[in-house]
Formats: sequence, C-alpha cells, structure tokens
Amino acid sequence: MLDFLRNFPQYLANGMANGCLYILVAMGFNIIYNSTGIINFAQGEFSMFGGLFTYALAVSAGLPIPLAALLAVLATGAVGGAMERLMIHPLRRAGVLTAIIATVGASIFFKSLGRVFWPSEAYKVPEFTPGTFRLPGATVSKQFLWVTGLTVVCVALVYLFFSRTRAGKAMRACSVNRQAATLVGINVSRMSLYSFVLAAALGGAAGLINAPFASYGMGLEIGIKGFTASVVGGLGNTFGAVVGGLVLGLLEELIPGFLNVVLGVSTGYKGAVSAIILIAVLLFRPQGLLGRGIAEKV
Amino acid sequence: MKRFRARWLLIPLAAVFLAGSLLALSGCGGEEGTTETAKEPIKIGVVLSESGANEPLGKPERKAIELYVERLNAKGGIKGHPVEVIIKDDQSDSNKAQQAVIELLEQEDVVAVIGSSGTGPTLAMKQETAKRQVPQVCMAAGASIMEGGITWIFRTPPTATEAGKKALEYIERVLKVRKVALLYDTNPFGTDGKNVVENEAPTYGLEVVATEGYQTNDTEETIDTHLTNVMSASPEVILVWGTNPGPAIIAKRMRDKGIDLPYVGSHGIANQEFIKLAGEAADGVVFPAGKMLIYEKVLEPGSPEYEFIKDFDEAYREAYGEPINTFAGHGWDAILIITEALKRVGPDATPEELRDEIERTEGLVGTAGIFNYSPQDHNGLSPDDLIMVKIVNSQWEPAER
Repeated sequence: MLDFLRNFPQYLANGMANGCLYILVAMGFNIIYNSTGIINFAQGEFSMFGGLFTYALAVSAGLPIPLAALLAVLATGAVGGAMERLMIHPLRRAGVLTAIIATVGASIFFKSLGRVFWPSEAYKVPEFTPGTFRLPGATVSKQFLWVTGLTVVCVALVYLFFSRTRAGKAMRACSVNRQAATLVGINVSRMSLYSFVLAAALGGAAGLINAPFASYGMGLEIGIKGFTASVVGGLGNTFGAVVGGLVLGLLEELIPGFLNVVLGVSTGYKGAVSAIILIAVLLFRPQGLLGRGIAEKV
Repeated sequence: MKRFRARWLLIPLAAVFLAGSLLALSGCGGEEGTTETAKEPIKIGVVLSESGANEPLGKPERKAIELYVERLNAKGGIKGHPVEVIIKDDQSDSNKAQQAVIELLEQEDVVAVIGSSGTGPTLAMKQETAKRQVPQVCMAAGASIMEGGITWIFRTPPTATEAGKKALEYIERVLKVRKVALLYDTNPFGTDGKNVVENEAPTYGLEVVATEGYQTNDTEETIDTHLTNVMSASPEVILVWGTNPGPAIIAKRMRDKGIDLPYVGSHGIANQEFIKLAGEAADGVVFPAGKMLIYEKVLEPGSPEYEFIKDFDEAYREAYGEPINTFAGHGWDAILIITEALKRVGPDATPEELRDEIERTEGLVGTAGIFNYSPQDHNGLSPDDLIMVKIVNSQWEPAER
C-alpha cells in the first residue's frame, strides 16, 4: 500500500497527460455526432495524421516545430474537410448508419495511406521542449506542460466557438433539431463540413502532443480510447468529454497500478480497463456521467 | 486452366528455341554449359510478405533468395539442373498465404516451399504443406509454429527460446544479479519472450520479481506507469521484450527518471530503428542478436562463419547497393538449407526424400549461425549462435570480449 501511495503522484501525472489526449479526441467524436448524428470511426486516424504530418514538416522538411505543429493541425483539418465533402456529403441522403459504415472504410483507407508514406514502425516526433523535471514522487516531461496547456486552450477555443460565433451557434442548433435548423435557414450541410474540419483539427492536435512517437497504426487505439471517453462523459456532450477524458485517463493508470503494486497481479491486459469502464457506463449510466447521451436518442 | 495448358506447351518450345539460339551464338563451344541449361529445372515455391505489415521483412527476403538462386545457377545449379523459384506475395495475410501455397503445390509441382515472413501466414501454410507432404522452410519466429506436428516444417531465424536463454544467461553470468523486472509487449513477439523468460529464469537462478505487459502503441505516460509499477518491486535489472517503439520509450523514461539499472532488451531491437528512436538513451542497452549484426567485430576472419557472411554481405551490396539485414539473412539461409540438402540427395529427390535430408542437416554454416536439424528440433539454431550486443555511443559493440 505504501508503495502505491508513493507512486500516486506519478500515476496522477501520467493519467492527466493521457486524459488530455482523450479529451481532444472525445471532443472530436462529440462535435461530429452533434452536427450529423454520425459516430466517426476515422477519428483516431486524424490523430495519426497529426503526428505524422508534424514529423514530415518538422523533421523531413526541417521547419521550426511550432510552425510545423500549426501546419499539421491545419492540414489534418483539411483532411477532415475533404473526407466530409468527398464521402459524407454524397451520402447525406443514405442515412446515418450508411455514413457510419463509410467512416470505417475511411479509417482503413487513412491507415493504409499512412503506411504508404510512413512505413516504419514509428517516427520520432520532436518535443516542443525536450527534457524533464522532477516533482516530489513523480518525473514529468516538459512536454506535459504543453500537453495540458494546449488542451486547455483547445477546450477554451471550442467553448468560445460554440457560444460566441454564428457558426458555432448554428451548429448547436443542428444538434438540437436538424430539421428545425434547416427551416430557420441554417445550412446543415455546411455545418456538417465545419464539424469534420473542427474534429479533425482537434484529433490532429491530439496526435502531435502524443509525442514522442507517431506511427500509421496508432489511430485505432487512440480512437477507441477517445470514443470511450466521449461515452463516459456523455456522447454528444462536448464538454462532458473533458470529464470523460480525465476520468478514463486517471482510472487507466490507477487501477492497474493498484492491482500490480498492492495485490501483486500482473497487468498484461491493461486495455481491458477502458473496455470494462465502457461496458459499465453503457450498462449503468448510458447517458454518461454528465448526461445527455445515447439514452435520449433511442 | 486454358491459359495454363498453353503455358505448358510454350515452355518446351521456348527451351528448344533458347537452346537453338544459344548454339547458334556460341557455335560449337562450351558443350557443357549448353547441355546443362537444357536440364529440367528444380522448382521451389516461395511465399513471402512483400506488402502489408511485414513488408520490411518480405522485401529483403525476396532479394536475398533471388540473388542466391542467380549465383547458384551461374555455377551450374544442382548437378546441372537450374533452380527455379516461383515467388508469391501473401500481403501479410494468412488467407492469401494459404491460397498462394495451394497454388504452388497443386499447379507448379514444387519440391519444397519457403515461407512465410510472419507467423500467421506461416501457420496457414503449414497445414497445407503437411497435408500434401512437402517440406516447408519458414522465416518466421513465432513459438506457435513448432506446436503440434513439426514433420514438414523447418525454420531459419532464432526464436524467443534461444534469445531468452542467451539474455538470462548474460544477466546471471555477467551482470551477476538475481532480481529481474520484465516489461513485455502484449503482441505475439512479446508474449513468446515472456513465456520463455518466466519458464527459464529459475534454471539460471533468477527471480522475476515483477512482470508488466504494455501495448505496442501505448503512450509514453502509460508505459511510464508500467515502469513505475515494476520499480516498486526493487529489481536489479530491467528486461524488456518487445519490438519498436515500446523499448525505446522505456529506455528514454529510465534515463529521464534517473533509474540507474542495467537494461537488457530482446532481439526485437537489433536494428538501427531502435537507436534512432531512443537517441542517447540507447547507450548502455544490451540485447541478444545474431552474430551477423557485427560479424566483423566478433568473428575471426578466415573462420567459415566469417567468410560465409562476408560473401553474402559483399554479394548483396553489389547486387542491390544496400547493406544486408537480418531478414535478408533469413531468406538466404532458407534457400541455402534447401539447396544444400538437394545437392546431397540429388536433383531428382521427391519431396519426402528432401524432407528427410533437410532433417539430417548438420553443421551447416548460414548467416544466422550453424544449423543442426534433428527429428526433435526443427529450429536449427542454439543460444550459442547468438551474441550479446551493447550500444556504445550509438554503435553496436560486443557486450563482452
């Protein structure tokens, strides 16, 4: 028990860092779900592009890291926009389920595309500021400050977008009632485009703060974790993602840590933790911790 | 089917035409050469992963096999019979590998099969070669390949068993510590290693005080938690069994956290990629690897192993303009084992006679070590074929001299 408590700050820091990643991906899931009713299975691949684009721009092309990161986020947003225009838009009359299945196809396509251009097992994405610092009981990389900082900025920007801008308000209207939104003159199709661009940019940001490594295969795991976080927080509740991401991130470190250090159980299948949390939430609180979720849709 | 028959008719026609034109070109000179090319070719089927996830394995394997056969045929093949390899790509997919090997076995009348690059496709091929009783030499290292019947399957790469024993022996004899913390990737490569380490540790008087499995794409922080957990058991050495990038993250985090314990890795990091990913943190890392990796530093010039690898190295460099790697070596060894057995048993051997002869392979020098097969052992290599390599200033050096 003492060992567990001694490790506690480290678990906390690690859980926070992963939590930030999940928040960004989960917000992407929610934004698209809100505007279109689609669960986008290619969300994890946006993170893959974020990481690999940053690698390409910063390492292969030699741009300064902040510029490379910014361009990577914009480029990933463009990928999201292209995906919406070329695939989701033409399917707009085919029903939500068809579009969801199409996103599975997009995910496989993106992954293959990633493998064509970046075939190695992993690429080292440079950190903004390399190095670490030590707190009592925990060693934290300097990247951690960037991760939390960037997440706070992203969440704040998304909040301002939805509460202050016309486009944001229109997107919220779409999420309440798409038909009514059309009736009052909101261009629903354009909102769908915006939501994909925004979700892709957020996913891209998640991918690049997931340094130090990016690979074509990273999307699946990030996607599953982000989806779990969005369900935990309440699917469709954009800011529920913040709670969902942090809860998932922290539990994922604390539960295996407790099992291993206190009970001496080997934790080869840590992935099961998030799966069990997902199932438990769906069984006992399908609307998510902050409510407003799938239950309402059924 | 129709197209197929047409091809059968074309082959003798083409052979006659070729022989005729050769005679016309060379006049009456070189009687031996011309008569020998006319002898019937020996067909060997190859299935490997030239695309898909195992592309980095399959591509060099193909290059090595083609180069080997080219050189062999230039020297007159096997008792005058040229060797013909028919290569198919399984795209790293088990179903496609099965399909490809069925085609080879049913339509091409091959005497032996090489393949595949990965464990899944190899297992899919294994059931077909066993059913049709044709020997198969694989280049994949998964432990599951040698479970069940092993009559028709052989392999060339070292496995977790040899590498695990080598690493444990090093920890016991050189590092002289007892308490091992094991971090492994939960992919098949890592779990094979974990099983070997857990089973074999007691024979070397070692105790595995903590075991943690991570996933290949885990974030740095998640892996840090695993490291934090095993450190609570106060180990004396960290043993990491995985493929990139996990082991690189662990090395980096150990340095960041000031963990001053020896780091022993697996043969999964015997590549430049690991050094590139881990950077400075790679220094001091020790891992088991085939001697080929640094043969110029560990083998005596003039010894059969040194000369064999040097010949391979030079031929490969000259043909393709790139350095050799482990996987090219596996391909080179696979075709070597089959053709050497064919030389001993004769070009007219049936698949069954060839299988028996491969099983009698003894003291055959290859790129991965010295191959000795027996009815009980179709792996061929032993821990002595591996060496421990240490990374010093981002260079591979022998861990012990």
